[in-house]
Amino acid sequence: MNEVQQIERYLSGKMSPGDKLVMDARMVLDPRLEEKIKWQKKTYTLIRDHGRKEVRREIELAHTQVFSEKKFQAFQKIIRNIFK
Amino acid sequence: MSKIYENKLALDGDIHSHFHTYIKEMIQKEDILQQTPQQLFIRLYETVFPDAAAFIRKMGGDMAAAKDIFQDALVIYYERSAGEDFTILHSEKAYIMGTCKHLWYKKHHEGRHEERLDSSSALVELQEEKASEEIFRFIELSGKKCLDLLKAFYYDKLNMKDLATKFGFSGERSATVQKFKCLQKVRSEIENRSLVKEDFYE
Repeated sequence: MNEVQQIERYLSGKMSPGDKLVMDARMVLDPRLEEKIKWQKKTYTLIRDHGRKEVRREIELAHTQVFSEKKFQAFQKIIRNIFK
Repeated sequence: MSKIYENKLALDGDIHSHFHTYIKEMIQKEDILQQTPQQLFIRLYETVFPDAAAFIRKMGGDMAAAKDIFQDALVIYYERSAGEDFTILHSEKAYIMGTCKHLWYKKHHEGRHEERLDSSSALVELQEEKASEEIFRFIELSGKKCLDLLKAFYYDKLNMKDLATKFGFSGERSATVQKFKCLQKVRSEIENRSLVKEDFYE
């Protein structure tokens, strides 16, 4: 638990230079730590990718809605006129 | 109030209009928390898409091009407005229009050649994609609530207070603990897997 927190601080660049030095030294002594850091970094990337996919899905839903519902007729007409 | 904003005020001296923008943007920031993303995007479609579409049309693009560029601009806007120091300097519409123009010029004037992929880098990408899918399954194994929580923090960039409210934790501390527990779960899943499959760590 503590280590996960430490790795997060290490990766975010918020660690003090002293703590960072200790972490770098521990990495040399314990190759598993380096792996753990690598995987945690990857986890952050994948969570962000997942978030972006969700946002794209929401945007597509919004698109479908504004181009299909009667409520947005005026909007649809404006767009049709632009591309006619 | 941020340093950037204060400096800008001092530079322009146009206190009233800047203060007005500032307040307006703060209200919008509130909106982002309160409405669902889909509601936000519907509003942005109504208010910004006609101008974006007119721009793309003027440049010779069709509806499909307008849709692609506008949606990319919305993703960029969403991600930027999730970051902290963003709200003050731009109006929402100006920001999204600026992004649309930038994306259009980028696509049509610079680096068309970039789109071509040689087969070896495509293969590497495919392998990386496969590895990523595998790791993403471990994240999913940590449970839907964890996935939602991690996404809300690391992607939507909610602060701990809003996170606690949204997920029903007693407070910021409890939300922090829970977030790290979720990361720990993901890590345990990865470690369990690596015991089964020795070469997982390459």
